[in-house]
Amino acid sequence: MADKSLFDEEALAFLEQKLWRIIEKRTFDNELPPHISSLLITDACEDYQIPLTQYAWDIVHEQSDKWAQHPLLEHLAQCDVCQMELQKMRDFYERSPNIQRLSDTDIDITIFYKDMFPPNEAISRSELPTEEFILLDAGLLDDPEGWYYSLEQIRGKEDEHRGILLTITTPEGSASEIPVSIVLLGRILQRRTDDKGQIFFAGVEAPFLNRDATPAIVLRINRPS
Amino acid sequence: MSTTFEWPPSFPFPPAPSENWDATAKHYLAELIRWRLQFCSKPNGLTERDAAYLVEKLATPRAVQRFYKVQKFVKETEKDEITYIEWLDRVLDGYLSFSEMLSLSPEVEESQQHVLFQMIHRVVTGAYLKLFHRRPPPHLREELSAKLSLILAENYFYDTELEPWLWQTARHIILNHIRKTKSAIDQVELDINLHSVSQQSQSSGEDWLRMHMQRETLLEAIRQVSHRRYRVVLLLIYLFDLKNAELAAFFGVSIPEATTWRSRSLRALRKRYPPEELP
Repeated sequence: MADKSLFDEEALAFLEQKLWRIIEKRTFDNELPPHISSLLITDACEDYQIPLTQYAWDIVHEQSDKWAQHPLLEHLAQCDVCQMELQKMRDFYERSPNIQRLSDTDIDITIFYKDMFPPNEAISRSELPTEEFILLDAGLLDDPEGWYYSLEQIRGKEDEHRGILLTITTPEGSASEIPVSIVLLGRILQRRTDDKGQIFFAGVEAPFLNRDATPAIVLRINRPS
Repeated sequence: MSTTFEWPPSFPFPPAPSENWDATAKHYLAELIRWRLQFCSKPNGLTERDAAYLVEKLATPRAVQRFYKVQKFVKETEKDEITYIEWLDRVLDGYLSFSEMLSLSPEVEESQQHVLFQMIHRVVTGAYLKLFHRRPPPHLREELSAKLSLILAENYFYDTELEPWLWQTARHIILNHIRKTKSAIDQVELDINLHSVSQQSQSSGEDWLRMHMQRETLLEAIRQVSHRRYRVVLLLIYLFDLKNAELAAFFGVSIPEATTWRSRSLRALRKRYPPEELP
């Protein structure tokens, strides 16, 4: 397999070791993570894998009314493979009633390298009097309505002041206690917003690989249900 | 300068890349260089010492390999053929243009050497900036510049413009350096606070046992997947529920590539852990 990532075999071994260690630390947890389901769907069509898993769970737990208008049903009527996968997942959930449902309340924001201003250019475009804040991305979340996020690279003089700052605001004010995960090169971090609707990912610097079709940062905001 | 020079010679020339040059081949190359110099745009100023240097540099398997590489490149990009003589002409023209700047012998003026080192520094800094949008730290710039100087001395055959060659080589050196030192991922950092552990629920003893067995069966199946990258992808999904875009950002690859990894990983797992065989 051609490997275009920066993780060579040695780095992968290090990462794998770290992941197993995390799992071993949780040996006595009595739960499977809910996303075990996403490990089991393989043959279903790519776009429908997650909805199909959720639909199977909802059928088994008698909560499938909300799917009436979903395009998945139309797809299922035409796709034998997805129908078979659906049946397998239904059997699986029936045998394992305590497996949790895959969440559909997450909002994913994907920021590509090509869309980010590189630091030097961002500095020259910025109207701010300081070189310390670089706006990486900002925008409205479609849902919940009126929610707005901004992501800034903070380049303080001291190490502890350097990092990435996420701010989420709502029409009413700041959005506090919102779980957010950020994924970037070699890093997966999970935090909750504070009273100001902010999370400061200390020490994190946006990588600039200059790769067009590659996401630089993915934010997952766990939308309040 | 011989005007009665005969081309092609009666023996295979140049020797294959796997073969060493004997005295006859070297002598023929020296004659060939003198002959072709007649057709160069500015042959004046080339000394016997220069000619001897060129023979030493070109009468090597590495130089022949370079010729074949250029020949392949021209064939692929320009749909054209380039002969050894045509390549040699390029080399001689390049040598006449750049040799003074590239000569690092003690006789060369310090200011001339300074120009070259400045150029190498500038190219290394520029290539790094272009790749990562930040300047290389000073110690790294020195290290990369030293590597580029060494490769320049060994692998530059004057058959392309100097500056584009420097830029391209600098880019390769930087990317190789990053791969080897893994500096981009030195700070692998993984949190497991929110999504997994917060999903706890109360289970009866029987449920607990079933869950535990499912978990162990699944993890054992992941362990049995032979490809390390697939195992890592499966573990990242197991622990963090990473989607394709997140996998791509984590590994620094495109989303289609991450999608392929994910799909192959899941297939490899499913061979060992089909849902219908769960406890």
